[in-house]
Amino acid sequence: MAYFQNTHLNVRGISCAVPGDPIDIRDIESTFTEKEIKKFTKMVGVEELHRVNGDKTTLDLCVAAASELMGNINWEPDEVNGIIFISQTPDYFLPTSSSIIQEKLGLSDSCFCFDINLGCSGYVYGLQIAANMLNKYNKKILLLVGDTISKIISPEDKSVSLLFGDAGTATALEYKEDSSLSSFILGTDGKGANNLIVREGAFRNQREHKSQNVSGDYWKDANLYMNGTEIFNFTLREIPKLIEETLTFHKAVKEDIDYFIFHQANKFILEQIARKIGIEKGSLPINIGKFGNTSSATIPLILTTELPKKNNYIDRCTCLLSGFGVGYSWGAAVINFENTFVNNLIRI
Amino acid sequence: MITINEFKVMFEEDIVMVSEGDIMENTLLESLEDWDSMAVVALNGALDEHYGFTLNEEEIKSLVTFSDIINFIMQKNK
Repeated sequence: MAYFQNTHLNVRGISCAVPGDPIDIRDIESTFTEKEIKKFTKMVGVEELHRVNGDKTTLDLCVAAASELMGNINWEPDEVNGIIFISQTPDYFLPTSSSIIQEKLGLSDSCFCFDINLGCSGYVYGLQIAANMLNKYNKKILLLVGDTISKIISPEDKSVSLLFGDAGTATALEYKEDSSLSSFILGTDGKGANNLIVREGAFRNQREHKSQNVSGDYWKDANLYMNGTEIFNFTLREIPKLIEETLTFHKAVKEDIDYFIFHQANKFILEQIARKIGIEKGSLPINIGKFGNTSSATIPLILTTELPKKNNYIDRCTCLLSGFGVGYSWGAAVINFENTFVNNLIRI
Repeated sequence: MITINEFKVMFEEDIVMVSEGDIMENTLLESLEDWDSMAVVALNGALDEHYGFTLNEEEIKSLVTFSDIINFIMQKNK
């Protein structure tokens, strides 16, 4: 695995935007019976989802989140040195969404912008990459992550139809001399690539419109396919190990961590990871009930909605973040939050 | 590690939601109303917790009766 440490990362503020009002999953088109929905909610945890309709995209959600955040933390547009946009649901194959965002936010021409194609692990990757790019010349970076997976879901595929919600987020990152130590571990296992995949639409299989029908679940290859059994096995095999290694790398023990902020894949999976590592319930916030699995946005959504705050600032705390899934790709980080501004949840 | 009998009770009550004693060794898994993808994940969670292994996709597909699950437990815990 790849190891990184950094002593000048400061998380200045976080903001999340979701589309509209929450929708009860019983009101969402699916092939679930009433009884199955109850079982699904009990096990997977999802009760409500926010989903885009019409032409709203991840980019729009991220722009809303960034725009309000910049105003609230008094970042002037011309002070921002770069945008990193991480999503698997960009507006276009090209150009990059980040360059469109640069224009929409009115940032200067000297701003660097690039997109990264990552899902569940994206937030941790983004923090690590931004941390490496922050220096005394580039002191302010916007990390924008999110997805609108609902756009690629088959309502007739029970493995995904009520699991995913949409969200876009913005995290303001600053260079700070002598910040507390942040530690990161990143890893990949491409053998799992076929277990969470949209097969059509890019350049390997262009628009063949193939359909799949397995055990009553129906989807097209342009929809998201998920092999829940293999994803579960991967998570149980790799993530407890990753958490232990991250603690060791940071020279910390479980008790040093105030909150374990894990990608909200599925409540049952989170409970299993907690069991294997021995994490107490109170230090593992879970909000999948309110938002579903929002891909790379789950970690900032937890940070903004579940941690104790005073006047919109996260209480000083040490968190172990971990994102894992599509790829397979995973990452974990120990980060101290201090004076981190948290924007109220935005609904657009 | 729990006994096979304890596992059977847990399988009945927590995974396929039937009454204790309803499952026989030759019970067809497909005949159980609650044997679905969620039950499969719950089964793997229980196998990992109590026996330290999980079944992959191919192994899951090979399961026909309850005794097939027991056979995996015996085989993987030799």
